[in-house]
Amino acid sequence: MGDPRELTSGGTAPHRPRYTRPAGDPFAHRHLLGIEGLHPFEIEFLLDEAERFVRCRRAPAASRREGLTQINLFFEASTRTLMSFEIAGKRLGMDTVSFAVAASSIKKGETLLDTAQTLNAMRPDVLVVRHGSSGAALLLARKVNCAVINAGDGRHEHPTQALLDALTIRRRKGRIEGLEIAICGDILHSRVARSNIHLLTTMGARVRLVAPPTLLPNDAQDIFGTPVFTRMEEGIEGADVVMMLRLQKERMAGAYLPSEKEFFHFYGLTAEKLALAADDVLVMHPGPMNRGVEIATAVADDLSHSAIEEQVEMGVAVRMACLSVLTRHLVEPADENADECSRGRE
Amino acid sequence: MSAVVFRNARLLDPQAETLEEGGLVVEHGHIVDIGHDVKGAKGTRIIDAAGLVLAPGMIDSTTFAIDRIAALAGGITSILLMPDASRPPIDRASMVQLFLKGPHERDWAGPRVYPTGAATQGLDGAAMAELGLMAEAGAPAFSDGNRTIGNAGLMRRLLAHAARFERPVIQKPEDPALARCGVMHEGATAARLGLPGIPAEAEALIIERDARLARASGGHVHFAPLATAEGLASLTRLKDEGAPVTAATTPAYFHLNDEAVGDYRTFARLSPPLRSEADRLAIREAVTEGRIDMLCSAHTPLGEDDKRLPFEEAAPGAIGYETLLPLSLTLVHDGAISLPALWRMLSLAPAELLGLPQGRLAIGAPADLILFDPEFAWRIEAASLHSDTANTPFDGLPVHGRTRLAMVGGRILFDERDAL
Repeated sequence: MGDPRELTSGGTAPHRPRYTRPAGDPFAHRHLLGIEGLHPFEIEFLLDEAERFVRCRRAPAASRREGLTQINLFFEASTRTLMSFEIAGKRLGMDTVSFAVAASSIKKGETLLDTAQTLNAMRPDVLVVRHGSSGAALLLARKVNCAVINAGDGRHEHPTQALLDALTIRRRKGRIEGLEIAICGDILHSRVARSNIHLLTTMGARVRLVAPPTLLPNDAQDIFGTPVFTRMEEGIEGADVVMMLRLQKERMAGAYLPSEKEFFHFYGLTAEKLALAADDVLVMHPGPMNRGVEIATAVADDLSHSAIEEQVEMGVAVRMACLSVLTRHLVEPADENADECSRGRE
Repeated sequence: MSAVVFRNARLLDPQAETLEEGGLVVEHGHIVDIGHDVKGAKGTRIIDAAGLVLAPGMIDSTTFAIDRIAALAGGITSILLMPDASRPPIDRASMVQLFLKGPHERDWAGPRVYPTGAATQGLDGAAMAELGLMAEAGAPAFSDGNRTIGNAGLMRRLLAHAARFERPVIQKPEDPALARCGVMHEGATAARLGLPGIPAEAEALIIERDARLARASGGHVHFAPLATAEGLASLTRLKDEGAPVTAATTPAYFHLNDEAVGDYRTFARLSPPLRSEADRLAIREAVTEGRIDMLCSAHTPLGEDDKRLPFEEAAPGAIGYETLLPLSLTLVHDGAISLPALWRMLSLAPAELLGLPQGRLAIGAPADLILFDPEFAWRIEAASLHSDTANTPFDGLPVHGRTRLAMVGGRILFDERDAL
């Protein structure tokens, strides 16, 4: 049982590393602030780590992080991401504390950095932060002494979402490299889109962007180096994966788009449009879904294509991996050979 | 549908820019043959044009009322109806379907009507209307009509969204903040009459802004109607730089200046207002040089309730269907432009802007045709025009040129060859 990857099970064959890892630390970063700039071997390492946690409800002994403090600092409303990080931390044995923004002193005028310094004085080991402003996670990371995981900053990045999407794709398709992946919807405002574009192109997938022109950055094609389609039928033709993005309702009241009705007509994922994609197409959505706006209920619930539930499940594994990797210097070196799922469960 | 052969006509082709003697055959609503010795099948109706000009019917790219008979009598066979022609405005697909008219409706005996979809919901200038669904329903362009879209951020997204459906956005070039309260050109006449003015700069500001937004967003902006020398200079420069813009004006802006307001004549209250003499001359020159792409009527029937009021309270606008042809022809009679070059601005250029197949004298094109006599002399008498109302600032003006016959989709809907 020397290879931890053998612990993974499920329908697909165990993943074999495609990228050579250099000698030494396979993930020499203090924080996880974004996907941009990560090497393929680093992404693969995080995915392989996550793979170990997929089947284990409790972390194996060597990955347990008893006694460490994890603070979830969420300035934006979130249910699934916050829950996912809490469960991930608890499964690693960490003491998790979630900081509710509505009750915080931020509302009383305290600045982000004041809050950071206050929390830092409480000596957490890892800080998970979500904030409505792009760059907020980076700003915090510069001010605190612990590891920071970006759980979404404004329109910038949402790295754990991209990782869980990648893990889902890899498990379902056996690879990422060479896949045709269409990312559809509000590219302009989406941190999920940005992180996924970086991750998927880094891992060798062929990404296409599908959006109305008002929800695309100008010159998106040149900026991201991906083909851009404003007609969905053309954009998802032959795609192996169709990744839908959540559309904020307030963007549809006439500012960026005329109405939900028109958006669904031209950009909603219906069975009719999906028929243009590959036969074994995988449908993904980061949730929560706006049924009848970006995705038809029949498509979202079609288990032969939809991986939406699986994405949520992979979310916990990916977050366990990120938390354990970023805190592994804080625990006594353990015997990797003792790293077994069954022991972790006890 | 019965076939028609025109003989002994002068064929006006705006594409080839030619005026040659010949004939033309119409079958099943389309032009099927053009030439010197054309023949129809046996029993075909033959019309002897007796030397009249046979041309593609005019396409009026800015109108505010359908006014069916007046349009046909003016030689206009297609009109682009602005969204504010209807109350509530044409701001959704069902309204577009309601106003879309043409030979496909058996009992419609008028010009083809193309509704312009409102750019914003309820013309509120704030929230984008359902451009995509209206485009699918048949709207060839989007506009807020007489209201200028003032918000630059919104205009940028409108242009981008309209471009997705390959439709232009038509903008009245008049900065709304500068135009607010103004009722005529800001100048000596306004100062003398004590009327609030609209500075000429209001036009160039919007042209400069929107042409750049169109360039950045991949959209196409069409300015109508143009009335100032400054706006024209901006337009010409931006076009030379390759900005995706076109523009139209109406004959009023190269025939009249702000002095036409005289002693508070409300028929001379237009929007945008009649400008200075220098502006008038600049617009006239630009039309003859082809720097303005097309001519339109901005036809706006207004009755006594709207016009017999103090100048500031009167509604702006004038009728224009029946005066478009003779007022435009003055440029030809003055030797300033050739008839084929003028006709390009009245039929082909609007057809290209709106993506329509008519407006051409070509085999296979829809048989939207008119016969007109460019030399016929008459006097514009407001009361005897076919329009619903008489609000024209050209009452009493002697002119040349009149439509004798109008055909839409192969059907003759107006025929005054014997009446005159």
